[in-house]
Amino acid sequence: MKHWTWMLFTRSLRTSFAERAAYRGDFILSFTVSFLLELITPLVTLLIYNAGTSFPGWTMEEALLIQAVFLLARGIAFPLFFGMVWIVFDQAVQGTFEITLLKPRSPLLLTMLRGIDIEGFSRMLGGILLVAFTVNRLPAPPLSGWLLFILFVSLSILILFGFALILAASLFVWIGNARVIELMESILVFSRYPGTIFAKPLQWAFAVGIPLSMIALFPAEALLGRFSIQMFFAIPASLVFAGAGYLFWNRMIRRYAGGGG
Amino acid sequence: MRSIRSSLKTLRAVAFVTWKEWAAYRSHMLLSLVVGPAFFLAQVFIWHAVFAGQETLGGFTLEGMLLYYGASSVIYYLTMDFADWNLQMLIRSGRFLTYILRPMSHRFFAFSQKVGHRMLGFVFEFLPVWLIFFFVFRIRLIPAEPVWTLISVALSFVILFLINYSTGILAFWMTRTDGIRALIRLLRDLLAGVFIPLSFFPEAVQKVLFFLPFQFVSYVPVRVFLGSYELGGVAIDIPVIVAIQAGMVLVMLLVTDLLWRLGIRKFTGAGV
Repeated sequence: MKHWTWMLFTRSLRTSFAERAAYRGDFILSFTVSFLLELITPLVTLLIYNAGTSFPGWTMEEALLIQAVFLLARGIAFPLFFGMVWIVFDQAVQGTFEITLLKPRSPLLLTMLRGIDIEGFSRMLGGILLVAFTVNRLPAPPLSGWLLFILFVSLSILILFGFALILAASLFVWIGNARVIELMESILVFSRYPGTIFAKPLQWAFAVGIPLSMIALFPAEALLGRFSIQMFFAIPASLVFAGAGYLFWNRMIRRYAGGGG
Repeated sequence: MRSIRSSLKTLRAVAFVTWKEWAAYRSHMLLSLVVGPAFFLAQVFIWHAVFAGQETLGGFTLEGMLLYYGASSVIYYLTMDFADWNLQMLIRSGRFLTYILRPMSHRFFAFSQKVGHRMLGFVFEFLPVWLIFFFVFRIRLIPAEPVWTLISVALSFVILFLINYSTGILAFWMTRTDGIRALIRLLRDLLAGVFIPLSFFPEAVQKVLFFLPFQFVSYVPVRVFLGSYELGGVAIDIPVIVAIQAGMVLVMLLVTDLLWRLGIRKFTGAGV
């Protein structure tokens, strides 16, 4: 990473923090609520298991591990990448994205840095705590499991980056559509549950089509020592998905007409 | 009588303008055709898996559970609103000043806007999603008690508006309300049974829910739609629970009124 990129990154973090620190009460509340909001899916899982049933082939701790990994990956990707969706949303509506285009740095990097959302890091904190809590209640994974986990979580963050690029890029032409995030959430819901609940063709679609299983299921399975052939097909699929997101961003940014304002 | 007629006329005019305004963004609403069914599809897989070998769970059969989520989805399209966001934005930017100078209550104006917005939602969200559920998922979303369901959904429409409006009023005291609004939204959806039926909650929690307005937003209309109501081990007849829901509308009207009277004193028009 070039020196100025790092400088821009640290300054963006500081600015984001300073901006939110102006309203400290609201910041603390938002920080806490972002974390609590992500606990809804684990809570539903807990209630399902407390009702005396289960996801076939998965204990409660194992199912919770998937959701913990999801929270961790989302906790890293959302504060870093998804703010840019709202930056493009605002600037496309106001017709001010030209200012970003005129700056002598990559528009993608600038948009991403401007969108850093400091309060979203509470999700990452929640993810780390929940992963630690569930792993502690399961047999200790071997070193190879942890290494594979790190690789898969990196791919998971890359996939979420791909989603952020696709959503942000779509707003260059689909001006002012605040609901694109909802669209993504409705897709991501399939990545929070054990793969065994889905039909076989769908399991393959989530491994090699849109690699949703790489977001949380496969990293969790790596820790649990469960391996499947789909996992290995999902590695190139994840790279292709992120690459497609980048290509889409580049194609759409050329179609930005600056019609707002 | 004349004042009621005049109010209805105003409501119709504001609703019509809101309809026209939002009709420009109907393609945004059509996203619901993907979002609603996608969430529902996930629920189909989840509940098919956890019901394996179980007859009932939390008082629901598998068919009842899918009906619960289906009804909950489509009722949401009829009642959804963002009065909290709107009101806090007006107060924060000072634009609220123009509304208090108008010869009508802002609450009624905002309510009329919601009517227009949801009429559009009925055409572009409710009807298409209902048809998708019917033809794709084979979920027959036909209410067991059509008249009571209609009344209950109408009351839920009002209660959700009043909860959100009360939340928006908090902007009179706080400059930024993002955190508090997110917290109330989280509690509201969780305790309204949006994520999971309330019968899955511990019994003590279920009993507490009788004293909060949240279950009347989603759980009650959905249970009325299904034709039976039970919470915290208490089974209540449909007409009785709808009457209790109507009582909650009155309580929420009083709460909104009280908050309004206290909050409006704090308004300085800063930001105009």
